[in-house]
Amino acid sequence: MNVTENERVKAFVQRRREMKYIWIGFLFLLLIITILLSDFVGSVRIPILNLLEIYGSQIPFLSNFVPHGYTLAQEQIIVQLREPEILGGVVIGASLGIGGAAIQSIFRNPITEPYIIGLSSGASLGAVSSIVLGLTIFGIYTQQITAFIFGLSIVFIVYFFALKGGRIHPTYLLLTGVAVSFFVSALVALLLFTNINLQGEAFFWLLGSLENINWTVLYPVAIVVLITSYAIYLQHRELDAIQMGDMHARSVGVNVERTKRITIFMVALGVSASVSISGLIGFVGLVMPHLSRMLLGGSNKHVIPASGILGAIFLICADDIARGIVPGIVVPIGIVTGIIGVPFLMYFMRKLTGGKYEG
Amino acid sequence: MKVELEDVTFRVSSFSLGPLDFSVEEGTITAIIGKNGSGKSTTLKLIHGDLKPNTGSVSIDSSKVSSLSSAELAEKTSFVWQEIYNPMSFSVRDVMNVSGYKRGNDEDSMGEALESVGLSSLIDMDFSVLSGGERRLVTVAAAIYQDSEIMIMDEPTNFLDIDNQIVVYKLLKRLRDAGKTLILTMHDLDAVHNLADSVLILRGGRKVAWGSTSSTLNIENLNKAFNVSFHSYDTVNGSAFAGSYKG
Repeated sequence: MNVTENERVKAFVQRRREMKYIWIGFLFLLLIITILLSDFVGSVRIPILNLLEIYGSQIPFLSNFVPHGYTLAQEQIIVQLREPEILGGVVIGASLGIGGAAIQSIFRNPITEPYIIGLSSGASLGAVSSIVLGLTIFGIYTQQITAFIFGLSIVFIVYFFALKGGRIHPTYLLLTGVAVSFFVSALVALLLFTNINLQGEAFFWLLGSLENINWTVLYPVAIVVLITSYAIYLQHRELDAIQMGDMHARSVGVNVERTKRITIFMVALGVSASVSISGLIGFVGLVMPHLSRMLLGGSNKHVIPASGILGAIFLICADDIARGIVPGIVVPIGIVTGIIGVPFLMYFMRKLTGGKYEG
Repeated sequence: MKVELEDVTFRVSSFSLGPLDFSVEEGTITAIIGKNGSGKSTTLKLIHGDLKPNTGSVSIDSSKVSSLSSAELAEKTSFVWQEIYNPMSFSVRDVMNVSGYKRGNDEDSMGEALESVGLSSLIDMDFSVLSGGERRLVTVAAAIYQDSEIMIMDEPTNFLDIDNQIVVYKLLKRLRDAGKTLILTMHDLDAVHNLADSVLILRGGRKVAWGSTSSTLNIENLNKAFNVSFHSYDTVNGSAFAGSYKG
């Protein structure tokens, strides 16, 4: 390769890299716009001027200079209902997207998601147990906290069952996760079968919803998700290596078992915290990492943040549809993610893969 | 860096390997040859510490391989695997970046490593759309980029056409001349004859012969290792081997 050609290749590489950062910047901007527009969605219409005034009133120092032309009811709807619900969508969507990217790297399998390691069945058992047994041990947040504890506990059980000779083999972990999930789901079904009058309440939780999220539950979950997401991002180089096989990763210097331990624990912590306040929301953890790879290539340096942003955008939009599609009724978000999300995924898979998953 | 195996044996289900007892000198090429299933790849994995021997020990530079962390091992050795997983949507650059995990990535060295196998123009190509031969060359380039003193390669010329096989053979010689220690499995006996400084011949997990290429690679040992009747003949590049099936 001569010097001119070398320069041309370098310039091309530089452009490609810059494009990836521009894409992430664009997605972040899209997220901000989605958040702001979603504040308009709901049964009560709030004029844009009043909405801007309410935003201004929440910013320290600026609030003294902003006119207060809005009503108390309008302020309550935005600050106490819509904002925590939308920001809850950001936190939960991001944790599911980031968890999905990390879990798919560990399993080297594009059809896995965070729930595969027993998270969803464990959280369901916690939530349904608290409903059926009428637990009040943690006050009004008993259901959320038991879902969190059970989700995390079942992941630990799966992890230790799958541990052989100090190592975690992806196929063995996958099979253990599926087997334990089946067992725990059978317990959930048994609890519901024997308490038929409580099926409605449990059913709504199992389909997922952002409707009941308030600031009190959002703050701790947001902090957990922020810390765990950053910890997962710090593993992006190790996760890239593991995608090429455990032995290859070891041969380039990665401590494979340590990386898996940290990643599984962080995903379990973040996603358990998320589903504890939203119920089960499927699809996001499976699909958003794929969309990210289609847009930005396979390196987790870009896939992890992009999956988080796309997960947040997707969940807010799904929640907008869940709130707006039938006036006066909030449809469970699990129904929306399935019905709207799947055709959307099929379309993008055809348009954007360009043969990347073939062969 | 010197590699030493002392009375190494390994057993898994009905297959057993060894005892193996030999040492590889710094700045040499060692070829391991034998039939499929004779234990060539297993020997490489034992040297690299991916498999633990049932008895005996493997040392690199006087340190037991079993006591080295993955980070220490990666500084001393790189490995070209017979097969690697096809990582999801990785570009050639992503594959190279993984091999730069310990040394830290730098553009110029990455470009040079890819250029040594003639593939620097493919750096931003999707790895999964490359041909089998191109993927093989990228993995060889990735091992070079890792910049370890010892390079272990499991059939580095698999899937390669004759042109690219010669590219790799020349590259292996250049690496040896630069002081690297290379341990590889190969099926092309003429290439072994021309390249290797020492040869280990295996059959059914047992050592048939070990020693310098000139003393080991002969018709008697090859006849013991394979179900083929060998003879040698002269070519413009020196002597070569040909065999006919015994059965």
